[in-house]
Amino acid sequence: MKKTHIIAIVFIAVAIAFMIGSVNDSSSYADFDEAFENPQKEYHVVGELVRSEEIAYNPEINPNITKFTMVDKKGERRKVILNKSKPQDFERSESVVLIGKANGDEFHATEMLMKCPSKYKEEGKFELEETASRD
Amino acid sequence: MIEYLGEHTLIGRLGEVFVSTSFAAAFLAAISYFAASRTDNASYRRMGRAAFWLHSAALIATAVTLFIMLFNKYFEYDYVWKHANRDMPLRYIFSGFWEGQEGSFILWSFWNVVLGNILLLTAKKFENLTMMMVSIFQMLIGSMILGVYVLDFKLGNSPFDLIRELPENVGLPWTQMPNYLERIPSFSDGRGMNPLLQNYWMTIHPPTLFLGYASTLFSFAFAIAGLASGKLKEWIRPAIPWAFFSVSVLGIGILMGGAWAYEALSFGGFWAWDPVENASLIPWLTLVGAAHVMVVNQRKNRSQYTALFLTLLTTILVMYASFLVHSGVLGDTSVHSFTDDGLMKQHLFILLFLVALPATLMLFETRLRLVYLGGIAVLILAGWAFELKIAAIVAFLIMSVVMPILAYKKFFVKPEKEEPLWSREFWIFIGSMVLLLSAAQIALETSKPIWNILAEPFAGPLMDIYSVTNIEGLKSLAEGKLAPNSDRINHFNKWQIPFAFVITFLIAFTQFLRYGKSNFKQFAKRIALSLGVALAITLAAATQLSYDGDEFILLILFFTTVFAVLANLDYAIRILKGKFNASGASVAHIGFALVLLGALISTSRSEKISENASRFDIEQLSNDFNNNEDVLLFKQDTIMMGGYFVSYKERDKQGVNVYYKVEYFDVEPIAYRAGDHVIARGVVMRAKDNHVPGPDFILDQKDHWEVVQDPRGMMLDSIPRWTQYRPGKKLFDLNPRIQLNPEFGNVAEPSTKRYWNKDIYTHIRWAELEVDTDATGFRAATELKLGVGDTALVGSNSVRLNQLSVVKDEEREKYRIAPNDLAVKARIGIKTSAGEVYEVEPLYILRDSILPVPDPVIQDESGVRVNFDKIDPVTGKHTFFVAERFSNRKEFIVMQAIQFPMINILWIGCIIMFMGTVMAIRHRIKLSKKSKEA
Repeated sequence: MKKTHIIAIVFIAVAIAFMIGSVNDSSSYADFDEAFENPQKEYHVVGELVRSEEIAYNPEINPNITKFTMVDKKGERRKVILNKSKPQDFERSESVVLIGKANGDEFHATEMLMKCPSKYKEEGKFELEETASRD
Repeated sequence: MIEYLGEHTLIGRLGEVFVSTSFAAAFLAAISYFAASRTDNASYRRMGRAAFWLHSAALIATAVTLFIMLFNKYFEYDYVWKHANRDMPLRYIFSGFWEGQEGSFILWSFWNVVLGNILLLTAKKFENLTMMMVSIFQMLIGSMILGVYVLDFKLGNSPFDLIRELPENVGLPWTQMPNYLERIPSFSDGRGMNPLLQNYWMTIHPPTLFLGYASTLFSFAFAIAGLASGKLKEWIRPAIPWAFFSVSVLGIGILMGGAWAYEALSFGGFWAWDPVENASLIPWLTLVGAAHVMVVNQRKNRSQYTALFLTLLTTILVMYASFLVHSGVLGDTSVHSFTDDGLMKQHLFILLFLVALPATLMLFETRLRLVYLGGIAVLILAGWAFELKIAAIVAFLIMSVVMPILAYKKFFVKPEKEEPLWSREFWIFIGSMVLLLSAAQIALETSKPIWNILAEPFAGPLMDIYSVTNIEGLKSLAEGKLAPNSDRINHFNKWQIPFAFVITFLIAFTQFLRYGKSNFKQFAKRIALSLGVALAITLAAATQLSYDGDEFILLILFFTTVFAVLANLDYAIRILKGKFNASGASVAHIGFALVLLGALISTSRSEKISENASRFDIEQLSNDFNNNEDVLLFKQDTIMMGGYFVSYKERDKQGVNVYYKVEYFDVEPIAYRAGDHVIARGVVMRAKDNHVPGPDFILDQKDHWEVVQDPRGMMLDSIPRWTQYRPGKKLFDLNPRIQLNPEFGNVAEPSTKRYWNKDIYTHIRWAELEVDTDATGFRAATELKLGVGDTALVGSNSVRLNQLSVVKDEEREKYRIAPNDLAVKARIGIKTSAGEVYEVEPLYILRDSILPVPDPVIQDESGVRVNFDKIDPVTGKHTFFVAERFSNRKEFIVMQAIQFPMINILWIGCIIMFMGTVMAIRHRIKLSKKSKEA
């Protein structure tokens, strides 16, 4: 067998190995209902922070725990316990991605990505102030 | 027609004219150069040059116009409003320029113009075809900032759009007001820049990175020229300096991104395998492979196809990086913010064009070209007509993979004999393949959102495979829900560390091999010295840094990087005899190996010294929560953390920045003397003799301590707790800060103490910035909805609704309730963080059964105020407002501290690598000139 063939075989074998490895080691996006059906499995859940519910962060008790409520894309609400300190400006986040598992009635997140919006998109940005009078 | 007051419309219209002129001139240049290449008519070439110069002038004018608008803060323009504000210092105006997508395309295009003019003067016989390619590319990028409508399709976003002319604003009443700029307060100042980006790195990182991106076009242009003219070997020599220039600049650009992340962002490290970082690393890896096989090709006529393939792939991957970042597809996978800017289709077109062009040119047979192009035409029609766009794209990609393989089989000369095993060319070829694999792994993992999109038409078959193999990932893929690995950093490291040690190992020994055939014995003798020394250093380091069996793979990487550094040093000194000109490659390789070595040591031995430093027994909620990386520090408190005592001293507000002063002290052992009192295990103890405490009180107790039987009369408050250590002398202060920014949100920036052998990085994770208190000294109340038996946390206290009862007649007098009032009593339990339990009884009173009477109750010891606000008999959840007294809590910060050992090796490596590549480029240009003279 020629060297080139050996190299080609090794090359293809490694490439296939990481194709499989990559699919195998993947996590999965899910909504809350799916995550709560399989509580042992880790999921990525995309949703929004429910601002009307309390965001509990009590560093005196544990600086690495933040509790809040998130609503997923289907509209299901769940209490979330995040094993991180409360991110700066969490209240302003537009959407969040939780990485974690369901546990009882709560979702236990070990990691969270969040997106903050720009204020520009807020409605009525370019409008007259109410106090301004018309000529 | 409305005459608007105070608008600067002329400059915007000028900008638009410059953009269209530069686009049209690029088009003209491309056509002229094409004609010149076909006819060899010198006048076409002159026309091409003139058109490219016109394009250059128009593009520079575009950039200058935009800069003037930003500098003068013409907030009626969308781009200016979004990326500038009145407080911005000049240096951030540059940053603002390329913060947005339009500006970054102008920057990219600008570098192409600068490099294009160099190419124009130096390319000689390749000028026509390379400049044609550059001009085509300039058209493609230029189309992204055109901002014109072609039928219904908007081509590009112009940075010269007025806010009142944006589609979302057209037709709004205020756009009809001549004096809208005065009338609408938002126009008085722009949004300004994201505070994360207000940093000197934002001034130097993007231009460097984009220069790197832009430069890859030039070796690509030579490769295209080679294909188009059939000069499959000749294009390589002039392309080599360009390729190494790209390696150098793009490499530095990527590392600058890492330095920025380390210094100013809150990644907690310099490389986090974030999709944005990966997107720029992938083309760099293939580029390094390309550049090396190009050099091989000059010495031995080999690897011709590999050089071509990797060069073409690099620029396609650069465009792919831009596509990933700008199209919004990465959305949920990255901490960076992405939004779809509406240019996804256009961007995709550019990407696919860059794939199709070289794939077509590679087929040196008209029939095959027609098959390929015809296939593309059919796919476009079918995709549009039957709404099978994704299937069409997948089919296109498959065709574009098959065609180059076919081309390789049919049209490329393969050397008759294989490379000898012990030859330089063989191992460089292996190295380029390893780099390609490494790039492929990163690309596959980073592209998961793309997989989800592309897999859509194949959901059925994927589900079938899933039902047979039970691989969960396939099911997720079929459902379009495949997500990146949750432990991203470890996942990438697992794959990339083996690649890294193969590469560094190759870097170490390949230089000692000759082109052609080497004498293995001589080769072995030459590398023996550095191999031996590297082994010795690795063994020493293994004990010093205590790498254990689990980290064997890290130890291998340690060995190969050290070996690479030593072998290249040895090579430069012994073989090249220190000749400066020729040792560029050795120097660059030393730098690269040092970067990896520094990354390896600082990352694998980084220590979150704030982890588990909390003095409190942390409430253990569940096994899922093992992360204790952040620590709470009360003001003036001193706690032991890692090998330091730290103390939060004070905060200091300067302008928009709030600085938190954190002091670090040395750790000193305590010496107890006979008769000293301490508190330990809940009792007062007296020392029996002079001694130095051990690690645990229990071990010391029997020999050194006795219980004080009657501590009455002692000043208990002044007796210290038993500890092993105490703070010694102050070592340094750190001032991590939080930047206040109402537009974008507040941003924390770390502060790092640098020693020669380690960095201590300190970062504020959370701090109370403003405290809302009312006149009575309470914090803002929290609204709670509690059923009987429910518990909630308010500040440090937990609150429980124990019971609810109607106030009985005999109690009415006690509570001073009028006869017509309706009153309900709640019993609220309060548990403080210290564990004390209290109860309060707030009343809900309805005067004359209509008007609620507020009746706040304050519990003094816990400092909690409860107000019973509403009864809800339907849900059984009643509303309370609970507030905490301000003085309850001391001011505190939550912070994270990480120690990175030996990170300076990494930064030194960066500088050495840069110097080495510059030396190598100089050398290559000289060689290139020499060969032309000869």
